[in-house]
Amino acid sequence: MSGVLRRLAVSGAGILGSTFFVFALLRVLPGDLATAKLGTDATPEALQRLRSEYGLDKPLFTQYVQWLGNAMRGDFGSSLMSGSDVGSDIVSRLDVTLPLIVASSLLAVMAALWLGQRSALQRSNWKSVVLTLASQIGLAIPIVVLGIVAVVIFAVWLRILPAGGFPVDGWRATGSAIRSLVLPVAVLSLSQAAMLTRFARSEALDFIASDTYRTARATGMTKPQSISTARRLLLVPVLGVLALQISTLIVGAVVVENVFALPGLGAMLVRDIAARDYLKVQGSLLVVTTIVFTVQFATGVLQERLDPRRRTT
Amino acid sequence: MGCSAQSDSSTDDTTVTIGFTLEPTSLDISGTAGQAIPQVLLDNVYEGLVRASDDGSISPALAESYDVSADGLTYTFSLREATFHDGRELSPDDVVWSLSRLLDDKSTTILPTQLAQFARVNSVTAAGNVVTITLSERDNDFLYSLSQRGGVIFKKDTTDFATTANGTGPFVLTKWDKGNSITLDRFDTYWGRRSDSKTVVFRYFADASALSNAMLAGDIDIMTTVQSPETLEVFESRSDLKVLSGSTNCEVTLSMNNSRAPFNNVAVRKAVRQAIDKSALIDVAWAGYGTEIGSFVPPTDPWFEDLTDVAPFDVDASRDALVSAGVAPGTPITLDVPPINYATNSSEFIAAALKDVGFSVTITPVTWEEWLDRVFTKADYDMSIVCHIERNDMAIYANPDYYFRFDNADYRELITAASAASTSEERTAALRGAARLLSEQSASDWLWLMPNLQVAKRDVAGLSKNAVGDSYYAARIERV
Repeated sequence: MSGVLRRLAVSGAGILGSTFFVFALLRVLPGDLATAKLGTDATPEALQRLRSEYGLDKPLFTQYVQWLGNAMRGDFGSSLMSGSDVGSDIVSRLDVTLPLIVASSLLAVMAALWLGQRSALQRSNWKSVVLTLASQIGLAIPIVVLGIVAVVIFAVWLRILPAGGFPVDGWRATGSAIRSLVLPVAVLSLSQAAMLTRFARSEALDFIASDTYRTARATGMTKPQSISTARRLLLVPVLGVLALQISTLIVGAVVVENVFALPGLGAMLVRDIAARDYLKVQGSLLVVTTIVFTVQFATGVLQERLDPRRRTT
Repeated sequence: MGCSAQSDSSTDDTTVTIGFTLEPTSLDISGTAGQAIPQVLLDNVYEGLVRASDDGSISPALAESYDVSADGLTYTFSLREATFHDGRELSPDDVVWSLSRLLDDKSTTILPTQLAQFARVNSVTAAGNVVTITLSERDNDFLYSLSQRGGVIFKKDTTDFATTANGTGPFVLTKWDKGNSITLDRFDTYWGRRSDSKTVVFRYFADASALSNAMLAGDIDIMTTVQSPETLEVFESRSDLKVLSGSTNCEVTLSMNNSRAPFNNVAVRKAVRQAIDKSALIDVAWAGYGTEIGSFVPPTDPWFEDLTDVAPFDVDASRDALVSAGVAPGTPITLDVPPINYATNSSEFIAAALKDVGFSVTITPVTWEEWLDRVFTKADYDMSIVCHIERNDMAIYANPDYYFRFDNADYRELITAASAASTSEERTAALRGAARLLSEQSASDWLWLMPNLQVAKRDVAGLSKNAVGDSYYAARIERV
């Protein structure tokens, strides 16, 4: 139990530290909200007036503490650029980004487990070569290229899926919402699966070399049946890698959202950083870091449940 | 008066989807910078007293008619009957209130550019349905200023400009799905000819290739910018699509720091211009689309004159001029290149051309932040490439502190004369003289005039070909 508490404390400290880091980093960037809002021909006096109106001339630490205090109470403030409520802006963007990330992760894990076992069993034949080659290629091709190729094939040539975008009515237009996520999820999960497969495969190879596998085979189980007894065991390292990769996955989501013109959190973040929309960037990144730490926390707990050897007493 | 003669072709109930790359950061048309805001809102959702057409001419909008006094100091506007989208009727108080917002030069809710445009306004008053604006001095651009984002008429006492848009225009803003699209629906009780399409969707693609792909896949009807002209071939080969090329105000400018050696010498600046083969450059950098201009004036302006022969491409003349100006072979210069394709596409060509006449050119890629800070604000640079887009922007060369650092009293006099001119002929003559002087002084080199390249489905009509104002007027766009 103290293990869980320690994990929680580490996560909390990590989130807190990252908010300060983000806050400081935003202030170090050249240009600020006032210049972004008033344009390049604004006089220094006009910029100063706007800054004091928005409280941007207060000491940085005061600004940070004020923002943090409000954020902890769930009040992310309203965007200084668009005037909209930051919290609800983030929630509406998570509508797109969460399904994208969750579906891609699930798909990637399932594909990795299956492919890893397959290629471990058929180590020496041509299928295995093809699988290894495919995962190499999957690792080597940047997500942007993968996305553009997918759009050209499925949207421009075959015209069976949209080239991008998300229905204006969101998930109420369920059919179109799903259709518009098919390619993004496929692309994002492909690049993840390529890497996870390699871990699953090496784990499966270890298992095949183990006594447990030999015993299973000796009882008359087929190869696939024997290896499937280790499914839980294979899941442990795959989940571990996925948790480590969650931030990469979110970065990938940023890229995918831009290629597919999806109104997700990543796309919003890129725009807000350009506009120096401080409160929105701070709010969005707080949500993202919280997701990352939560996933890593949950994975740790889950791994312990799946693999008793990891439990510390 | 109400409805003007309606040749109602507004029976077409279809939706037209238009693709853009830049999304508004806010709906605040008067207080937040950025071209994307007026692009969607001006003339579509909000209107001013007057409107600038595609060819730059001014026509009445919320003013049924207007009159300018002989001394150019008093403008009177007769308002027409119009209603805001929330149903309230337009009153002269709205006009007085909206335009008076621009009279407080300390305002933080109005963009500095707009405050400057209205700096000469003394008073805005109303009597009956006539609004009178008086100026402290003549301003030949005042009607144009009124037609742009600063001149928009709001409902009196509006407080939320950033998230709502209650205008009088032909379209009602019905939904802003942030990061995705803005939906405009026909305003059924519009005072003028109603929009031809029932719904127009402005869709935003942060990624230019995503925009191209959406056009190729048929997800959108119009693609408003072709950012990489080398991709045009793909669109031209498609029988269901058409490519439109129009004019813009965007002069791709090779700036030279006039305050810094060797460019503080006219002969050297002219030699630079003569070293660059513009026609070949346009082929290399912009797939052959683009017009040579020879000065800082687009052909759509009345004072345009073809000045390409002032400093024609001539490598020998360029070399000779540099020798007699005492520029040693191998003189090092730096070309600061911002991250935008017209600049990156042309930098190598320009560097090679300048090396050919004896310069030693270093190409330095810079971020926009660095460009704004070091090049634009501090003028700590030798050469750079940027497209200058403002309309009637010849005045920037009259400001010796502008990053060109072009300091010429004759030029300033011509620009002052142009804005004080009492007839348009007088003004045109002054500006024509200014354009010639600018070219003779080789204040910069002007590489080409950016074309306005759009792609549309063949069955879509009513697009504005030119992009010379702030708005993307969508009321005449329809499927035929």
